[in-house]
Amino acid sequence: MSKFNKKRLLSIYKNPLPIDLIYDNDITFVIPQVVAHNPVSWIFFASSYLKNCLEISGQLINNTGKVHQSIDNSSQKIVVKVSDHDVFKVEIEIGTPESDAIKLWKNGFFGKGILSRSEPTWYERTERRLHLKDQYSEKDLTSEEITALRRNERKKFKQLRESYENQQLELERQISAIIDRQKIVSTKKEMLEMENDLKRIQRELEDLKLLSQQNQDFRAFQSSHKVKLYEYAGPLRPDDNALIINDPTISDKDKRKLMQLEYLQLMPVEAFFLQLALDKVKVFPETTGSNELSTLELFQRCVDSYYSSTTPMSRLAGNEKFLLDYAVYHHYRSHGWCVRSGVKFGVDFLLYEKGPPISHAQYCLHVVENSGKNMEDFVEYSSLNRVIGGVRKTLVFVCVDVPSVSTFQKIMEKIAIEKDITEQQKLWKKLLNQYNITEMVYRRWVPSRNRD
Amino acid sequence: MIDEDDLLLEEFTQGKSSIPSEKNPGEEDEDQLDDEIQDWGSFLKASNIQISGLTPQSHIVPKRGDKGFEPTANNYDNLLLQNKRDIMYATIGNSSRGHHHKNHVEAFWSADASSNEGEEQYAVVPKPKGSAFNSMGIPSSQRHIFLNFEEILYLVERGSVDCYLIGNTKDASEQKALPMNLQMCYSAFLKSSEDYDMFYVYSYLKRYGYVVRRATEDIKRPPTVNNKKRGPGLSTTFWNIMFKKPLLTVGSIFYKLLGAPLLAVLPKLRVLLSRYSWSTLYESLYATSYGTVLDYENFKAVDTSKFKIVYNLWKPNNHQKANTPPDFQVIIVNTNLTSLPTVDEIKSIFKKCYDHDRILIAILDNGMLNFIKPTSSNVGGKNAYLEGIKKQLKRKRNNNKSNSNRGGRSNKGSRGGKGRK
Repeated sequence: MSKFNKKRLLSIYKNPLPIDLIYDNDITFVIPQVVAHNPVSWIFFASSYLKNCLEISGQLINNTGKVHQSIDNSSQKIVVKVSDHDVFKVEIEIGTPESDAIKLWKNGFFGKGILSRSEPTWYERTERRLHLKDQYSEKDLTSEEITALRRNERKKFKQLRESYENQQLELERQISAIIDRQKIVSTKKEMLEMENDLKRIQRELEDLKLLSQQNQDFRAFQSSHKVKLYEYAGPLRPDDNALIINDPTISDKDKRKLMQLEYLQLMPVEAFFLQLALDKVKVFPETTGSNELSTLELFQRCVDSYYSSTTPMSRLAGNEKFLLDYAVYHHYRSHGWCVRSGVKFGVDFLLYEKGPPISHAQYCLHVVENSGKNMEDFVEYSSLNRVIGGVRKTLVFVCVDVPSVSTFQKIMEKIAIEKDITEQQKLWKKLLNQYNITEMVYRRWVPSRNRD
Repeated sequence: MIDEDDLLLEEFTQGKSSIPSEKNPGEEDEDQLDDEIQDWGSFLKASNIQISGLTPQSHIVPKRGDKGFEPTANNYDNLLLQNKRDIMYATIGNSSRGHHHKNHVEAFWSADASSNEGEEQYAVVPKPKGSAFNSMGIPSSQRHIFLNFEEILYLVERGSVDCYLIGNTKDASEQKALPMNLQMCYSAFLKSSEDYDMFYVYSYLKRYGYVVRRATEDIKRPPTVNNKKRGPGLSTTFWNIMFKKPLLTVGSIFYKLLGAPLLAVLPKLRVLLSRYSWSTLYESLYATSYGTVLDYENFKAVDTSKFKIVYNLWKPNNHQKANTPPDFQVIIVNTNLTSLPTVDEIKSIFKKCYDHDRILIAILDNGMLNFIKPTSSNVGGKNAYLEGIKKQLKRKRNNNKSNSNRGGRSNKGSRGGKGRK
């Protein structure tokens, strides 16, 4: 089972953010280079520039071609529900190919399917596991299934190898037993019998060795043995049965439908980014009848989600963990990185150049406040660095300079009063501008490898 | 009937048994160089020592971490190991050790405790011999060499120098000198835990072959080469005057007359513009300010007295001239006493040092020594998405070019390209 085709992946995950561009022509817009002392290049430049401009304006006017979207996109905002325990949920609709959650995942890799590794695939997988949907090709398999299949294959391969080894040991034991007995027998007839036995067993051993030799190669095993992913096809377990909606009106067996248990969970920084920077989501508290949260309310909610109790806005100092995290998250998101949680490796964030399905994360970000206080002790640094070095990533310390409490409070007060959305946006930007981010990397230096 | 183990032992001691060698010299990883096992057998062979029952055959003891390696029911592996041990003890125990008379070097350490507090005491080598002194000590006018405490201790520990304690400095005669053993040396030379840390780092690097010297003086920063000093080329100047400036002025007038009021009046147009392409969209998102540890030019330095540069380091083959700048500069941090430098401290160190790319921090953590090198990554300084697109574009352009260039030629090149993928 090979990895996904990279080109195909890039065509699926084309956009770095869940934004529909009006004219998405970054790749095709090629202007030849201008060489100052070469007048011919000017002509080339001018002609292609004019051509491009005409093309774009034509498309804008005619509203055809690559123009996808009108300016007003408020109708397309994604609904996010926040539970009492500060879990930001996006529902995953079944049946629609581009549901909101999938859109968030495909365009910038926001959120995590709570029952999946990261991309929400629980529904498809379970459908196949319970044999509700048996027609699928290898291409449809999710990454979890590919891993499971590979592990299954390895397990089978090892089982076969072990059985060969056991047979070999048994034959060897028989040989040594015969040799032992040969020392006490005296009659010639018995001796001859044993000789024959010995020869036979030795021949068997040779054959077995040849057979196990052929099984040394895992690739050869893969091509000769087809391992199935979901082998169990008996009656469903009761807890699996509970997942299926049995519509009494439809008795047809094929119409049995699976319940959707999974939702996409967003990190607080992701939810806040989608609201503040991209204006792409509407956040509602899960309790029925509640109104949409304003940006400020969402901010308060996010800050509180890091602690067990709520802190009133006037008591915030500006160096709360959420603020540090958000400043860092916003910075790297706005610089084209795909930022995801780094909790797997003991850091705050992972940086992907394109996204998890396409390439491995290159950097791990460890967010620290630059407060003049001491750094971590060396043990903590070293353990982090070792873990991250072990997975071939680079540990980056991201030190955040925090504004003074008074500056922070002044801007927050202004935001609270401001009613105009664009003005409020400007104030948020001003606040973020107060956070200065400095990167630092400590690389391990080994004397034996730097001698020349 | 002979026991199987005995048979194996016999085979082994006679050197008949052959274990397939796991080592593949070509594939040896750099990692493995560090934990290579000393082969005492070759020593024994070289020193021509005959011990009954031991033959210096180079059998491979299985390395730790070999997959699938399990102890078998017999004690074959133990026999192997025991044999290796015996060879080692035999080699160490039976070979003669000591100096050659010709290479005998003596050093003298004054016991005079009245030397000024804070002033460093030196050991004197009246007759230095050997190449070790090429990169050590301070030579005096009388061809003596003065060694500071880590240098003399390192040499004594190596067995290259015999050190003597002398009483009164006024009539220092060699007869009255008291030979010092290693324990005495340690207690006389190392006066604080900092001294011990220094010695530890010094001897560690020295054993790897580096030339290590105290960093006493500040090394002058090389004058920065100003690339922008040279004026722009003639054609560029021409271009600037004739076209760029007028274009810019015309552009700014246009913007002031039409663009700015339009933008102010139509906030929707602004949204439209920000949604026009990824680059404009990203531009509209930029909000935080950013820097790396290398932006130290205008940085107000903080106190870095905790992090002094202690040693200058040259690579083993890079110390021909006396005034070659060091390849590295080492700061010693004992984790029991100080924590790692913060970003501000690193910036201050960078600002003061000779070259920020040569700073190393030696971290002593309860006897474990690690080196780290503070560097910058500039991950957040560029836009990853737009850079990726630029790269893609470039590749496309190159492909187009090479396609058109190739024309009728054979498709040898494209095949090479495929191979690389």
